[in-house]
Amino acid sequence: MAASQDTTGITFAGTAKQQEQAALLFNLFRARGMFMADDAAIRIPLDDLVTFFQQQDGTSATELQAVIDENAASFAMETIETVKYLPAEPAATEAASGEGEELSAEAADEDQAASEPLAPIEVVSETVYVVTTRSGKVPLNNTPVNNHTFETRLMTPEPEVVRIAEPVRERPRVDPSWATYTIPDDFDLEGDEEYGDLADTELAESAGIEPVEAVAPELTGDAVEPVVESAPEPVVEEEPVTAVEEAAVPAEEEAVAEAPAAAAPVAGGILDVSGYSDEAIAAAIESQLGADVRAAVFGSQWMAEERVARLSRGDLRRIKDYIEEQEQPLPDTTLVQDILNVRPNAVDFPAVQFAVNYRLSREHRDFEFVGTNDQRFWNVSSAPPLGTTRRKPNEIGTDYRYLVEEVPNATPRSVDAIDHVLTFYEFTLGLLPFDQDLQRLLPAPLHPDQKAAVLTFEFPQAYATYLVELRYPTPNRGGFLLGLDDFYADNLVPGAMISISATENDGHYKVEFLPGEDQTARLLELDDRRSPRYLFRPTTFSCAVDDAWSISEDRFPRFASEKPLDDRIRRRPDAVVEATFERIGIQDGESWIATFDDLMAAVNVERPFSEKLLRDILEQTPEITSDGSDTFTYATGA
Amino acid sequence: MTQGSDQPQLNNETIAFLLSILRNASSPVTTADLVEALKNSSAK
Repeated sequence: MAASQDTTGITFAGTAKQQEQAALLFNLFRARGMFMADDAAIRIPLDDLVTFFQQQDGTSATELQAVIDENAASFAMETIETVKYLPAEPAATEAASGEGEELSAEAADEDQAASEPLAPIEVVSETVYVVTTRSGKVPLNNTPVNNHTFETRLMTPEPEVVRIAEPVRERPRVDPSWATYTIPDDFDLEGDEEYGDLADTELAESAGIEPVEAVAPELTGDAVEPVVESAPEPVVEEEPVTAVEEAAVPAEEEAVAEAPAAAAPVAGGILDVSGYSDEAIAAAIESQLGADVRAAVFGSQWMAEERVARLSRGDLRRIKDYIEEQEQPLPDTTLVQDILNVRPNAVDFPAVQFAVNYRLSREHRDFEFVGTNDQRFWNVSSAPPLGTTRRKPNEIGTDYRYLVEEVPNATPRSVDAIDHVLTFYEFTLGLLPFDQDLQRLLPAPLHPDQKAAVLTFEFPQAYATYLVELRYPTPNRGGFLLGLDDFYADNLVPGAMISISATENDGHYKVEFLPGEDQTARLLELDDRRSPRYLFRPTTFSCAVDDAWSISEDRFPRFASEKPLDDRIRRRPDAVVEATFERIGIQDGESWIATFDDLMAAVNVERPFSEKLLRDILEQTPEITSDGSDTFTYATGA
Repeated sequence: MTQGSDQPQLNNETIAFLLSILRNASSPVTTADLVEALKNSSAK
């Protein structure tokens, strides 16, 4: 196809011979670049062209140069530099070694240099080329692009990078709680923390406090000591500042000012509390440090608020679901292990345990604290109540209202053990009154607004432990303990004597009953399957019974088939006493006669009575008279 | 001194000192620990 190409369109300048020679030269180039693009540069060394033309018609180099110059629009000259590397000749080293017989250190160095590989010799040569294209025009860019060849890059070292010293960037402080598994869930608290940090800085500056770096994360007695010892001594005064160190001091001061929360201030103006009792100091700490937003307190434990791990919404939801699934209050240790997957032997277990208690105490809507200082139970509002369903807790609290007036302020946890005799009312509902004895034994609420506490009652004789809910008294209702109905039904009868003893854990107690020989008696029971009524059933039991509190058929036969009193009557203690006279008393015309012990046992069938409450009613009711002993007469017609 | 029944009024330096104890602790501190630390600082 090359033969069909038309090259006649190109006209060459010069004489006729020169035009003929230019056409020959151009055909030569076209033959050389037969498969090249029309605008690609076709190069042939000038020397080769001269040799060719001399062989053709004896054209000299000068004549050829003239042809090229005459047709500058079609042909161009260019010089390309070629670099070659030749191996070095060893003769130079031999000459150097022969010169000197004075072997010196320099000669030795030269020998050493001679033993090393010789650098190649660089030979630069220039070649003149004639350039054109298949279209007969000088290529636009006839300069070969050789400034980025592999050869160039290999032989030309890169210039040394001059790095400008960057200024030290300010490192943002990360709250330690972010380093844990938690995320902040309350933006208000974040604001409080910033306020706390700011207040710290201002406080430290105003007091002339020099912060020191915290080095001992462990809190022990020894960990507290170093801070206390170094408190009155400013750090700057202790160490003489050299000229070199002077330059560093401002930088350190700036760093301290930027991150006050990371340092512990060493104060010199700490209050002298040597004249105060421990209780007074503790009360001052609880009231004044507890009001500080930077301190987190739960019970008798404290942490810096910023160090308390946060619970995510997902954590809170899973804790709530878990408590609902278990259908009973759960202790914080269980929540930490089962929900947050922290092992009890982990270093951060106490801190996470505190975080759970502290964070859940802020979630008033979903969670309720029902624990003690040593045993911290948490419950949810939707959980089923513990204990009996025969009567509502509020009604039971109203029944025990007399305890609010009768029981003076007792010191919690001031006794180690108490004894108690079960009444029929307590046995039927599975409860205990929060009377003076139990108020001395059991702990006070951990928080002022705490309504209930879940305790564990261990029964070694039954090899069982029950969750018992202590309902604290309110201004209108008395306190009581719920959740013992199963244990009572399985092991005891009304009149049984139990002993409750405290343990080191203020939420755990041991309960024992006085054992007795196996005996059978027809004892009163409340049958509330259909229409509630009292009946006597033969009952076998093996616990000792106080006969004064036993409700047997032999003692009160007329109780059989009696219906429980209507609630309107039950709410009035005097009406209950009058009804009890008619149930158990000896009829004498229109009067009923009963002893105080019988009345005491029988009135406690319907509702709780204390001895004081019963005696007050017996004395204040005009229809009831006494013969001077403990025998009372109720005259219905009076 | 017969101040045993009254509460001491903690000043800013004392509050800062107690907060520093809390910040240095990796686990919860009891009130008794804080009382003891405050008494030790007073003694020194």
